Amino acid sequence: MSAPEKCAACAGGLRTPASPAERAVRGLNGIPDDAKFLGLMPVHWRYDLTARFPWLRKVLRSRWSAFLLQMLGMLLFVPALLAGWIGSPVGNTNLIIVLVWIFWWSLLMLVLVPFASRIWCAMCPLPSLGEWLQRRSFIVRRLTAPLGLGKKWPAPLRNMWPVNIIFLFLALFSGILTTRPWATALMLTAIVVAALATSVIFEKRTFCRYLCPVGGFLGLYSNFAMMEIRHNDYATCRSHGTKECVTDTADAYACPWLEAPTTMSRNTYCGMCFECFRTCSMDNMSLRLRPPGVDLLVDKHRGLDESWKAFIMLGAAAIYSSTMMGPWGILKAWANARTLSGYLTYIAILLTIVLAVVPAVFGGFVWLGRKLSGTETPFRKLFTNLSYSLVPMGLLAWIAFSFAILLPNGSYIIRIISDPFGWGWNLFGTAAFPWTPFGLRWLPYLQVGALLFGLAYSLDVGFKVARQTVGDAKSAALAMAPVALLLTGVAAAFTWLFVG
Amino acid sequence: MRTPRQEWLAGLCLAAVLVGTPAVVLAYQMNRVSADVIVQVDQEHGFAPNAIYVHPGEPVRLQIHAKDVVHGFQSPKLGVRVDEIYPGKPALVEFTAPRTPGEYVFACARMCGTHHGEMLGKIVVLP
Repeated sequence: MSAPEKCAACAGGLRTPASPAERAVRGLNGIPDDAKFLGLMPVHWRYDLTARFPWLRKVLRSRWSAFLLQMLGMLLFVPALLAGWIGSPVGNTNLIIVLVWIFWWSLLMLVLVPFASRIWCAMCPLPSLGEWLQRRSFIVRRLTAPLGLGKKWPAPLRNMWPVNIIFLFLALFSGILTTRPWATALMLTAIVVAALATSVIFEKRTFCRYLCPVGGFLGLYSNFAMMEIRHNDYATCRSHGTKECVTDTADAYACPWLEAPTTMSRNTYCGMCFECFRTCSMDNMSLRLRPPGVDLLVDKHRGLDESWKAFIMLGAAAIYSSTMMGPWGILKAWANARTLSGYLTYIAILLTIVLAVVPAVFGGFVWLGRKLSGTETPFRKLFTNLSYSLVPMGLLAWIAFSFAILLPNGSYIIRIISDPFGWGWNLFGTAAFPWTPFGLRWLPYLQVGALLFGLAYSLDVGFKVARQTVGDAKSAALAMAPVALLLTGVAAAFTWLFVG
Repeated sequence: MRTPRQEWLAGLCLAAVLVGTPAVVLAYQMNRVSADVIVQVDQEHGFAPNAIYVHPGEPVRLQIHAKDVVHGFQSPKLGVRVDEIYPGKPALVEFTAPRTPGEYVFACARMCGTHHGEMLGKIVVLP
């Protein structure tokens, strides 16, 4: 292993692609060097955290850091699972419900995904046992062959369709999952078992990449995140023959997520495990801040599987908001499976909306835009590319939804830390803390602010993608105009749902 | 191949979490002395917790919070009864656990709504 070399391009600030080759790797075709998001944030701006804070690079390169992050997740997960199985059956007095559906969900949507991409995947305890078993090790790199069959995931399924289906399957039980501790415990146990089984049969983090129900939307929405792991200097990667990040070496593992960090241009499948930092003998990886949404402009790897993920998430946000916060009590009764017929009705509505209605309406508007602009771009390409404009709107709608989960229900967290199992404990003297909605007067402003920001960003991304896809500015504007109208309507509908 | 020391340390950390957490939780629950228990009660969920474990002869104090309407608390075998527990005004119920191990049923003492008849729980006196 050669000594790490310092790279010249480590400084923060504006980093326009250095060469045509690097430009091709980044995939920002048709995006001018002076392009800005919302007219404010330069698309190419980056701030290299690992160059600015050398101790951070040291921490990330340590093999202990990965283990400790996973143990942190495990420390939360084990008591929660225990509470789910043997604690109180009443949802709001059980740690598993409060931790998973109030604390974790809010943390994920309000902080982790928008700011730190898939950092949750680095501490997620669910696949840890499988990974340790597969590696036969917790920390050190073992030279023995991995445990298990090490098969490759079937090529036709190397996309988001499997996670779309698994996510939708779980979404059908959302009313039960979010209120019954045993149901959440059963789901988490099933995920651990599935991850373990997948680790034994398939290579590396196949489960996380292709099967995790959370991984799909984390991947899609992480394209909007303000953080990225990328190669530092492309010329270094290019001239480096060994490329440890894609081939296991004696000192470290290749990317467990089956990515090629040398050419990675999107956050979608980067699990932020930082293994590439540990394995790169050139010390050529960096953790950077960036403007949100850069990856949505990457004209590579786009596909209908991700488009449908965007439709599913946007549709699900609308349905969950209607169910949990809308004025229709009957929807809530249906979702909670009070009657079989009601529950079947709820399933039919959910599946029809997310799988057919949202894509069909979006397709109609794209078709109209294509006609208006007279572009020769194939409908499928325009449909796929423009669907990425739904990502900011979708994520910000979920953020608005999450504010409405956290602010009214956050006080349960104070109570639950004293009595996590609902057994009448009072560990820290807060077990009798009453349900206290917090900051509700600010809720409508936060929600409307989030939706307006999401709309503005979606429109901006949409017009940039249209320009990238269609070519000239006028045709792009005409192609995007109907979708812009649709996005405005979606934002208005969510606003009405949340504060109307 | 020899296992490095850091692997043993990591394995111990994991074992402590996987085995230690349930062990500590159950040990704490089984050995709580002088039970001081917060009980929440509402019509939808009844008493939570609805099973309270105590040791023979130990002093027990229940702090009962009504969350929706006026409830009550009674356990004839334990000789305790509170007729009215108002939301926002928790009631304190204190008694000494019987010397005889077994289950002692408690119930809502006030006709509080349609689920009144289902509002039951038990004090379990451990052997």
